[in-house]
Amino acid sequence: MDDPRLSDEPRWAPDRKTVDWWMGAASDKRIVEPLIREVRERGTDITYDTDTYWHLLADVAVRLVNEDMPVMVELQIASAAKTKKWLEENPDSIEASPENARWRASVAWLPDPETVRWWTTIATGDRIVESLEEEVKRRGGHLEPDSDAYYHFVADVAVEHLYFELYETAKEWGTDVGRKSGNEQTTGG
Amino acid sequence: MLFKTRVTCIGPSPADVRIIGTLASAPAKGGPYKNVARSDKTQRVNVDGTETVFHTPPQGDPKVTESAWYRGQITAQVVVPVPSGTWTATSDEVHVETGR
Repeated sequence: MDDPRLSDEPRWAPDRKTVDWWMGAASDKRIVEPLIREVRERGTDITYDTDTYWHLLADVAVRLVNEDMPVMVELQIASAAKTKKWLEENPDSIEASPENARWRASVAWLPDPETVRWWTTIATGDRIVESLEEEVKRRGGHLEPDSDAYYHFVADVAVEHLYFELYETAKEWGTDVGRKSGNEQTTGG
Repeated sequence: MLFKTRVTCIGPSPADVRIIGTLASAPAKGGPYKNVARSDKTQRVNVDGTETVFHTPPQGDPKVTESAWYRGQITAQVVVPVPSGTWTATSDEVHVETGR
């Protein structure tokens, strides 16, 4: 996908609801086991705390998060379908109100495929390698490298740093992230 | 520094859940605590066992970066489809060294 910042064409921007959805739905828990497996398999000849090591860790973490994106989309599709079916079978189960009318109208919401594709295309380990190394050393220094607790911490930090990257990058690409005070209605609304 | 609230729901349909979160810091364990970040967000939470994460401070607000003791508190409520009462919860106190 070409960078729209370099074009005179009307600018495409990542969908804000999809960005918000990812922030809420991204799961460090789903990537921990494959992270442990892959880093242990590929890292046997790599010395801990070298540039190569941190790049391996960041690259694997980001790729696993990217690979989890279709899983998240599938879960959202399944949830929307299940809810639609339940509402059809139980038409009077939800009290009629303006709030619930909006809720009913939004239960079939799905992430924007273009935004999902955009992020999984540009999210790379390079984006987080420095901040991942810094934070793992600082906050995870008490954890034994290569222990399960260490990888749980790494996965949590990787998702967190990608979350910041996604938000800032979406802003650069023109997403109107709006304001941040008061009760913010976001995902699925 | 991010205070994360992980929400799961059970029930027949997804719910919109409102989480008001505060992150407070103190110079020593036990306080006195002073609020340093706040969030107020409503998100859709599915009922398939997956988590939805709420962040305090929310994205776009100033980051919290000071070394200190921290404690998070939340007030939670199901907003739709069936409004609930509210719950509150408080995290453990943790010391975070940020190098600043």
